Amino acid sequence: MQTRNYETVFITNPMAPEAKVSELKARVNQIIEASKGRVINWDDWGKRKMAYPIRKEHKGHYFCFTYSADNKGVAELERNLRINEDVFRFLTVKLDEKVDPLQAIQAFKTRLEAHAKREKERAERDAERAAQRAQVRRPEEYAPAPGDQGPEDEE
Amino acid sequence: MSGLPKKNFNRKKACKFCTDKEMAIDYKDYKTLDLFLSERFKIVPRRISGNCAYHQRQLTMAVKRARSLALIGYSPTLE
Repeated sequence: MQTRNYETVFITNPMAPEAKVSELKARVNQIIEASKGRVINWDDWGKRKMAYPIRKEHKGHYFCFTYSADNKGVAELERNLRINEDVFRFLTVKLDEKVDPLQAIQAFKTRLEAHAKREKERAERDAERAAQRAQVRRPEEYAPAPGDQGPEDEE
Repeated sequence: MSGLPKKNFNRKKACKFCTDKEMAIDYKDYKTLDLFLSERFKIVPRRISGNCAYHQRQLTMAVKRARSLALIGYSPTLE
């Protein structure tokens, strides 16, 4: 059987005990090895807020892994994820054959870092501007504005 | 022709993914996808964003994948 590279992201219940999650991880590894493939990379994105609640949970524990397997391996893997009660969602994507998976992961990570850096810079800049604005405004607030010195009825 | 110069309404916009080699479309990279979503979380049409057909197709796919993984929402949350 021909093996291909795939990537699967799955979300587990954040309340699930550690042992159950590591058990699932071991299971995944076992399935992939059984289909003559191997896990290329395993990433734990941690518990993060989801864009919308799934099964009344606002947070989810995200895992993302890249691996090679044959089509039966992927089917078996998905079957297991579907059965597992702690798994909220999963998504398997066939990877581009022309791109080296490790390089793609690296590129993704550097892009994430760039986003984080840009956000940090923006936050700093906003804080700086807010401070400047506060400084500029303060003297105006205490000084009486022109034309605001009472009614002009001196005639 | 007389009068004011005609405003050119069909100025060609460049596809951001074609011009910027650093940018890539990936369903996991929700912050990049966010740039192409409207206030109501709709995908910005090509006519507005200026994306080329090839990249718009990929973007649509990526946004839909990210939505199903709750990386980006289907609609703004009511809070």
